[in-house]
Amino acid sequence: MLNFFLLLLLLSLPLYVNPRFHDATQEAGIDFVHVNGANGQKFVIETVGPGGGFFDYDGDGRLDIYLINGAAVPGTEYDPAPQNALYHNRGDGTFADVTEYAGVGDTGYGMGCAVGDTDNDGDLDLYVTNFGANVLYRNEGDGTFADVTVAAQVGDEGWGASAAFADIDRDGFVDLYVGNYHNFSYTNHRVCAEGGSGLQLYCGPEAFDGVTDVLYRNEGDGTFADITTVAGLGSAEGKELGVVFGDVDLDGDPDLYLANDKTLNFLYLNDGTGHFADEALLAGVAYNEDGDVEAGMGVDMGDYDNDGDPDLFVTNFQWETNTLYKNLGDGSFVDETFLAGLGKGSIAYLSWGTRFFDVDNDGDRDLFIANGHLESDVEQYENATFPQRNQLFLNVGDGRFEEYAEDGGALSLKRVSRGAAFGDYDDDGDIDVLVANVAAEPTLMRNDGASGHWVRLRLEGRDSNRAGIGTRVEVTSGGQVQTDEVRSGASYLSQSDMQLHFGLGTATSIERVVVYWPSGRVEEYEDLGVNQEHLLVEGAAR
Amino acid sequence: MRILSVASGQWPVVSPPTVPPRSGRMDRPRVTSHLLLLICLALYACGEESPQKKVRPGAAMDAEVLFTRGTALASEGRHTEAIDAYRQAAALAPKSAKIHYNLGNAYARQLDYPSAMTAYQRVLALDSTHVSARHNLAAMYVKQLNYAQAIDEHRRVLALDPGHLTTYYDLGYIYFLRGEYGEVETLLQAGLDRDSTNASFYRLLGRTRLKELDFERAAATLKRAVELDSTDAAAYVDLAQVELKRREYAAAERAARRAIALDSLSKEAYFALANALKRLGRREESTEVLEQFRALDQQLDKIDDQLRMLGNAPDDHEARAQLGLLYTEQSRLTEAAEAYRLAVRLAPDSLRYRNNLGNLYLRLGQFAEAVAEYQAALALDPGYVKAHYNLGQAYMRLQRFDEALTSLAEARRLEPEDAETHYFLGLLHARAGDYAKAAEVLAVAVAARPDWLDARQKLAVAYLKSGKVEESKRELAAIQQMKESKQHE
Repeated sequence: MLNFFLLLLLLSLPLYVNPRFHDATQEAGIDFVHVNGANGQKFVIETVGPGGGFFDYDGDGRLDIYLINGAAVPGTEYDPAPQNALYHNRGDGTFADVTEYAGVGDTGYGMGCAVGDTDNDGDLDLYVTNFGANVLYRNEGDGTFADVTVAAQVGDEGWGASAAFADIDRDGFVDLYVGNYHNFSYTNHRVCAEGGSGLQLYCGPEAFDGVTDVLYRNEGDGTFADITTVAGLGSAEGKELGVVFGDVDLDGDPDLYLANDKTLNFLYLNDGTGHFADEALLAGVAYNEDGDVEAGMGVDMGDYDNDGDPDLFVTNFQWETNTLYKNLGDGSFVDETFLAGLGKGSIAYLSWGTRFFDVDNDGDRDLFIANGHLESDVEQYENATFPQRNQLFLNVGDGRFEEYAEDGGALSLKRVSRGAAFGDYDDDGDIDVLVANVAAEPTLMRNDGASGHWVRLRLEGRDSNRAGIGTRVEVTSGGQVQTDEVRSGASYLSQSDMQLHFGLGTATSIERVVVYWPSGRVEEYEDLGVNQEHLLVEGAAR
Repeated sequence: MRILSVASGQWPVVSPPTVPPRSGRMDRPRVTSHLLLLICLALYACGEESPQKKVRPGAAMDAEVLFTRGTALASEGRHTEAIDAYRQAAALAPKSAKIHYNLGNAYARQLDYPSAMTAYQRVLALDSTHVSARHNLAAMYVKQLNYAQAIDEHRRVLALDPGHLTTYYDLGYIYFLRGEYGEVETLLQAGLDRDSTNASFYRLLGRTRLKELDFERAAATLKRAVELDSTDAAAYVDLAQVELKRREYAAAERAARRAIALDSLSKEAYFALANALKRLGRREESTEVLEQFRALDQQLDKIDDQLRMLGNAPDDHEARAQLGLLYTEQSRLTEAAEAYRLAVRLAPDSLRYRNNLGNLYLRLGQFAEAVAEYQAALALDPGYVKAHYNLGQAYMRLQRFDEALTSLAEARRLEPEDAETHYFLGLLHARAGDYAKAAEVLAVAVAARPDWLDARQKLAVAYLKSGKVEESKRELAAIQQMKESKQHE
């Protein structure tokens, strides 16, 4: 009888509760150090970046790393000029800096990046957002890139924050959305002294005016056209930091959710033709549950409750919670932050990059949150710290999360983190995390703790865009159905691996995979093997 | 110049000319409006030191008189002038804690937190046991987001005076903002041990329990709060939130509607009501309420931003004026006047500030003060037509009709085409019995604005009274035609 109760007790515990992240940055040979130019003048751009990305630029099946750098500000000089960096994954846990060879060492004041196959040639192109003109690098397929910004007409000169590719009109070519933060410039720069404290602090977003974002339509000939206004996205009200595309209403086209800093968030629903209308207020995702705007930073979309529709998560400022919006499936959402156990634990942190992903391969999506204050002086006026530890919340079922913390390991490190990218760089079946830190080296967090089975799906479009962006997949395994969607961008200023990863827990087989391509084609696969990667090519299902 | 409503046969009611809004400079966000509420609660809770009944001799007597004047001015929301009085009093009686304390409160109400802190610290240097000053000093630290120092000061208050009830609430609220709900519960229970009928304690406790997901206890606690204080809109909002979580949507709707009835500016109440209606399946109603919420949120948000801005730069006169404008838009005229008073103090040569302050005095019924502001504007610029026009309005309210006529005549000289100026001139001439002249100027008003029914009616009367019967008939016919046309539309 005692054994029976022990068994019950064990069964009631969540599986694989011991994910462990190891800081592999140094041993991986990542010697990049971000600079933000800060020299005490408190230019607000110093607080916002950087991001970074995981993507397989050379098609060798291994995830490479791209890191964004800042630049000098007035009064600061660097020699040589700081530049972004590309690290090639050697396949043995180490990386080599190939920036110069690849030609992607942009020296602008970098913010973030996003990838997509803009020319459908089978390799991933790279878009870099800057404070100043953005840059599009076309992947030449031979390990090098060409700066095609001018020819492609995508060099928006606003303060680009997060960006993402999506095929908004489903013409088979990915379009590009760039979220612009606000109208800060060196000429309207100012500092703020909260409550007359006398401290010279960075000004918040209220000190500046919002500006319009940019939606570029891919013309399919190597050029893009600015269709922001005609697509219904011409509002200058928001101060965008986070951008995520996804089919929130499951009508087959990509919708757009924008996290705004101290202005209401936007949910632009796509009418199927690439025209958008903001439904955030009515859908319940513009404000938090108290009717307050929050300092939206990062954002992700994912089906944390495995009910078939994507939910939303937004990271916010210290003394605010991060916010979880549960998709009710009827066009509306409800703020479930506290009910899900994500409220109290997030108040003391200033949060940025984030993602729903299955860290322990137990079949549901957990949450990672990158934290770090923006005020280096914060300890002078508040018992908060500039560097903060990042957080992992494990999904414990029934729509609830519990924070997982550990002494030692990468999760216990305190850094001033911003962007976070996710992918299995060491190809061991679990998701690792790349965290971009302010004025410091990044943190490559190798996941050594997942033990459940898994499957990874690489989607390759034919009628649909080649990288399969916007493809929704349902995986049925062990009687459970999980869904996810191929996304460019999301998180905060960062690009995660676009392959879809599903943890399968103890299931040793996959009953069914259904693929909903952006073209409208629906394909089914049966009996895909577990613990491996599968390439699913549109039209190839038997 | 714009007339909102002109009742036929009555003296007109004139609204202040609107000032085109400038894009304001704004400051850090980061704190919710709850913090603003907190500081207001803190300051109001502690109140002012009252003047002494007995008057002491010499300088002290003068100080007492000035202190009394300052207190009276502060009670009318005229903090700029109150500060002047308190400062003069403090110069005469530098060791008077009560003067420095009230001075601190006046500064705080003007969002001049550094000056307020200096004043409170001066009080504490004179009397380290002055709990109200220490309490308000803590509130100033909250404005600087220095929660740690605020907590320390509040703890000192409780050590000095364990019966200082407001501090239980304010300290609890800081812990609430920090998500330290256990501390909130402990503090409020301690507060309730001392005053079991304190509705605000129950409200915050209920709100805390809501965040702790203890919905049943939260509901019971909030119901107790509204039993104790049935006028507490915020408690009804929280109750609505709890009922939403309990899926008691009809109860949520009732609570939210009650909150709105108590406080029509409670945007949180509209938000809760919209959510309740949505859950009740009344989508269209929900959408309507959401639109009301959004409009209100935009207005309040601008005010919040401006207040934060002023917290950082209390001497920014344009920000003061912008705040005044925002308050005016919400018909919060006393606060608007105070904002403009300080703008004028900071930028005495601004015609716009003086004119707008005059307009606010006009709307507040303080006609003599309005006249003074318009005259000050005209002393700066005799060609400022708005001030002449508005001065005419103020004189009319004071029934100083000759001076009104002079002011409006000058306005007409400077802006000969303005319909409203002619209209009021017409009324003044008619009142003086000079119907011919009245008809002459009213005809100009009607020519400028032929669709102005009331001006036509008055013109018809003026024609009749001046013996121009045919002209009067013609006007009456035109009026009849206009009325029929409107009915047809």
